[in-house]
Amino acid sequence: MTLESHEKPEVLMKRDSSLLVGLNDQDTKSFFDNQRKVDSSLTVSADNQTLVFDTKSLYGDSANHLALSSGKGPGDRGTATTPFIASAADFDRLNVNKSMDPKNDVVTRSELTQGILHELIQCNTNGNDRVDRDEWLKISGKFGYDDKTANHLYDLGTRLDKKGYSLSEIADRLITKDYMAADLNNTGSLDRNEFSSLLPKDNPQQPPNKGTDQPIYVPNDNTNPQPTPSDTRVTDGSDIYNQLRIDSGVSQADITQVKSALKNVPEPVRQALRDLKPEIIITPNVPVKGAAAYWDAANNQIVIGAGSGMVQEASSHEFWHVADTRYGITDEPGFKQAAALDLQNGALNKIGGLKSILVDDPIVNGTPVGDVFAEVGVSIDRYYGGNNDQTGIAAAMSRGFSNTENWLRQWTQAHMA
Amino acid sequence: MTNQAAFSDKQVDTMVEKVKQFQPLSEELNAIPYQDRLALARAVETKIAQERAPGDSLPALVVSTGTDSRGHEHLTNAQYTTPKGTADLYDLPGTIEKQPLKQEFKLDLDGAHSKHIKTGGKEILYPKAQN
Repeated sequence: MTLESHEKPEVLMKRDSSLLVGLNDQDTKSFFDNQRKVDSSLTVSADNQTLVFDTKSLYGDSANHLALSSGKGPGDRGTATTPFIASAADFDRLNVNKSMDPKNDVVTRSELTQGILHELIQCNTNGNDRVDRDEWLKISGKFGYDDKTANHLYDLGTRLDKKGYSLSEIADRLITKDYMAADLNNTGSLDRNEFSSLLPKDNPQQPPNKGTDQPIYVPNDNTNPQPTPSDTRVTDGSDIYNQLRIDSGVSQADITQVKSALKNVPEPVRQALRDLKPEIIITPNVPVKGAAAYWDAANNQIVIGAGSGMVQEASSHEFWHVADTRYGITDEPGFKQAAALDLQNGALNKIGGLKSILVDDPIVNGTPVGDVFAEVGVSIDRYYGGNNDQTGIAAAMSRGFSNTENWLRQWTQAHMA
Repeated sequence: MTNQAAFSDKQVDTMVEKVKQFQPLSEELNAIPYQDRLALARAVETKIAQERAPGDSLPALVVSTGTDSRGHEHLTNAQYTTPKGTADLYDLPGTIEKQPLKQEFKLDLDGAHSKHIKTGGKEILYPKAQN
């Protein structure tokens, strides 16, 4: 499991502080202005009593299909009468992406959020695809909140929702962050020891910094299970290790980085690697001079240069290109339209000197945007397995090409099934 | 979409001569995107057919195609036939033909190769900006 943080700390700090001062700084405005279309369908009722979400938007076209299954996700608890984190077994329930070595397992921030999201969706017991305030209040005790705190959080949630945050992002910022207070070594994940600090001592489990003397409300109904992204088959990519070819002279650290990249990319990217079965070569001697990595489709090889200091990012970058090869993502009109809009909005000025690294097709309005696609892909890895952006290029590219990022996030979510 | 102007009559004539001389066509064809490649191969096929009279002993070229996973048509073979036998004059780029993959996935690889013709079919990531 990765020890990377779910999001860059500075980003989290900025958003959290924005929340405190009224969500009005420029970066936050920019973020809100570029909200995803998928999030636009999540709305707040006129009386601020309901967060409305559309499962199809959240989970793509597969939502209805998945709703018919009883897949086990991180929020599948077997019983609805226990706190969100009640026992050590919950570590393994939430830890969807298992490590090869169990002692290295951690629960990432993303996994924690997915578990919480599952609870929120399940609380929609009347089937209206809305998290009503009363539904939230019925389950908020599972997270250790008293009614006053729960109402306050709901109010904050409606504000965030109006600004374009998804339900997952709201859960992350308002609930997950409390649990992440147990992340004492600031890795962005909870190891078993840190996780154990969240377990209830005698009584109701409480998030570390949201103490309450109120008893936990125990919902007595769980009649409307909803799908979560983790209802789909999410793996850590270890089954792809047999496609690795490791040349002599490659450090263990670089091998680990490639494996981390495999784990962090979204499942559709891993599936593309399974379908096309490229040989993934890690070598100190890259045949293409000056390259950190390359994807040679004609020979079905990804070649990754060892010792570049950006092995993880370069790996993810090439994995995304393989996904493009498999699915034709950059050929889709939506991708080209989003990239064209970003270019109209001055993306090249926003990314400054990085524009000189843009060399790969397809060409949109005279600009090769193939590398935009791959770096934006690296950037959105953080919403899935963890952060692969070692240089900051991916984040910068995503800021410059925000519509492209939004489009690719939607594409990825829609293909998680 | 195929761009009819992506190749010249001279290119077609050159290829026709290569066919008649049993010379492989892969190098020239794989240097152009797969859409143009197929169009050029078909133009050569047509030209040879036009030159061929009934009962003529001139060789015939038969172009074969397949579709990738998104339904795009690719050239997969160009078979040269004479009364003495047949010969395959075309192979997909690199080692695509040898990959243990379904045909549609092989042609996905061909499509990716075509996107990066100017860099020899490779999508290359440089560690820093190349000025």
